[in-house]
Amino acid sequence: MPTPAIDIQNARKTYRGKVEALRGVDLRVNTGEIFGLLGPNGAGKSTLVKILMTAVRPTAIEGTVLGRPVAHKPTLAQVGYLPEQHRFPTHLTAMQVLLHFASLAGIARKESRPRAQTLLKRVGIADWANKRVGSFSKGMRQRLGIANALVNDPQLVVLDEPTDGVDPVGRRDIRNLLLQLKDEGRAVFINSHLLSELELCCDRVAIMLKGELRAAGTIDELTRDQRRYDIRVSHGAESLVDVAANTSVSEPDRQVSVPTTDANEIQPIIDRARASGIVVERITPHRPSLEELFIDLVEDHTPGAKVNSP
Amino acid sequence: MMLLRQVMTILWETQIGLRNKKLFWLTLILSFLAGLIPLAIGQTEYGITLFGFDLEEATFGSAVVEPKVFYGLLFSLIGAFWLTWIASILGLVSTSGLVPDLIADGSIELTVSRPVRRTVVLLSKFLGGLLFMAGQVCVFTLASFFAIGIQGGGFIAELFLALPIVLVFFSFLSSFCLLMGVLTRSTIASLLLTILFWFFLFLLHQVEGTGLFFVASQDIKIERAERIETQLEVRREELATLPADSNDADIERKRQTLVSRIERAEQFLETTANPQRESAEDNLSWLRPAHQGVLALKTVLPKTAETMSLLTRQLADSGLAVEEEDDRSLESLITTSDGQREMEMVSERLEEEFAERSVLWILGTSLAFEFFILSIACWRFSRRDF
Repeated sequence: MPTPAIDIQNARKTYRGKVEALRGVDLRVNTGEIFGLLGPNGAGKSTLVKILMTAVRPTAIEGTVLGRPVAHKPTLAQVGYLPEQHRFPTHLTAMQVLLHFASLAGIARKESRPRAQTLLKRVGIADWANKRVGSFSKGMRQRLGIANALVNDPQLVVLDEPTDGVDPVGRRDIRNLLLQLKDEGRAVFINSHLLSELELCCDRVAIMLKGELRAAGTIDELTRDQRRYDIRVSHGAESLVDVAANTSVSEPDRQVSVPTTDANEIQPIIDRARASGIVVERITPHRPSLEELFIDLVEDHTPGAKVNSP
Repeated sequence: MMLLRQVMTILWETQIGLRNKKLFWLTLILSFLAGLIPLAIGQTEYGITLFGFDLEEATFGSAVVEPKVFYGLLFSLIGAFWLTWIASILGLVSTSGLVPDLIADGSIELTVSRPVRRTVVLLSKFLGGLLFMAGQVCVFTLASFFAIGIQGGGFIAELFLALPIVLVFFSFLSSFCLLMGVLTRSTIASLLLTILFWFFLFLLHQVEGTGLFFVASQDIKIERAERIETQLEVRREELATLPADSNDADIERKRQTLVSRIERAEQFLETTANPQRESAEDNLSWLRPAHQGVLALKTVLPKTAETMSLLTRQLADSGLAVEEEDDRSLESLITTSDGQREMEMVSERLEEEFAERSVLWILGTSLAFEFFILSIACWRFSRRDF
């Protein structure tokens, strides 16, 4: 079993005014994997991340981060964090920002300076190293934020909306960077709304609603029940329905849907079609996207109605 | 080692942030110019000069006051005004945003997610504000030090006493501003509340001083009546020792003088001193507890005015201020019927009373308050969700 980077149980947070942001969350993120946490606004994702980063005090929590109890300050030296809508001191240059936060993590200048230079190059803003952050665009600040999350050479990287404000090329670069981090054996925890981005790089995801985890696993695991084969025919789709169990017509008389991941199960339908002179025009294995899965789960949820961060 | 590195890092970032503001440089330039004021004021044998123009003010001529004392006095006047009011207000305006900027959304998470204790972060910011003020005071004092030296007042090392005194004074306000910053998360609110608190302290000092003035004036009225009675007793005894049936003209003259003085004193006692004493005793029955109450409140709060007056006091202790001649005689108390002398005595009593307040009482209780305020700020900051 892989070593957990985050292994928490029963995470609860009730803000003043009896607002329950977390209602007993169990979560495990392994080393060497990219884990995505999804959820609508007000689901409690940021609260959970802030608890892990010691910015918010939990009402209750058990478990560990990198093998140490949650909120163990020295452990944070091995954790990198990119907050959502972060705000760096605008009077500092990009290089100074990295040196500042590296020093706070206890890293000496002689060690952090070359690392900062490498990271600025890695995120594509090396030419701006000595420019003040106040003059940076949103995308550049985001790149700097990612560099800052990595400046202490962390074993666990927690990123809240890492591609927010970044152009498509930048997103691809960030995605590749995350995959590199994973290959280096680090754990990456991502909090994001960009489901297509997560789908491309996450090994496992969890969906949070109203302070509770509603689903967790690999994308394959989560979408298994909704996979199907769509068989497009020239006519007579209705006559093929009774061949296999749970088969349905999804377009009037033209398309049959079979809820299975096993290709063998659709062979009898193809045989029947051929025997009946029905032309099979197309067979499409369908796997729902993460977005479809997410929307299915949250469609009855009113965003931010009951659960709010402070 | 790691703690020291973290503190130095926060101080470094704070100083860059402050230096990045125009107000920082404006403040330093103004402090420098204010420190050069002694260059505009010269001392001649019989007066002073202002920008080279003679002003006939023999009291301050070098024939009366030594140049070192004159310039020491000048520094204590200019320094007390500049450092207490202008520099402190500029310092507060410059540093009041340190904590609200630190705990702004998106900023604080970056800091608290590092392995640094929140208390260390907050206190380092506080220290950063004090360092800014120290820079201002150093610039002002250095400029004054050289200006006075060039003007012939000598290079007075005691001027640098201003640095610790002003820093302690500023730290009282700065700690309160820090707490307000933590509670309100607003630069404007914390600045305004701090100035309001400062004004309250100033007002409290004035109320306490006024209360002390009235208490002292009532005490003096009672003491005067008691002294007249004592004097009367002495005179009566003196009269009793004179031979009753002496034909000696000198003795008779002395007797008549004594009798006349006793009659005048008895009349003064009966018509003026005793009624005043009774009235004073009535007044003191509520004035003294009221004053004690105000003093008790003042004791637990920072004593900004007294702290800054330590600068003048320390310069005086170093022989750099003119001490007034102490002239109090019982006879003048008894024979002077108008209030002028009484007012002088009350003023002297007040000065004595303030001078008797020890440095330990002034600074000790004020620093205890500061410690309390910083403790609350640290506690709140450490427990707060961001």
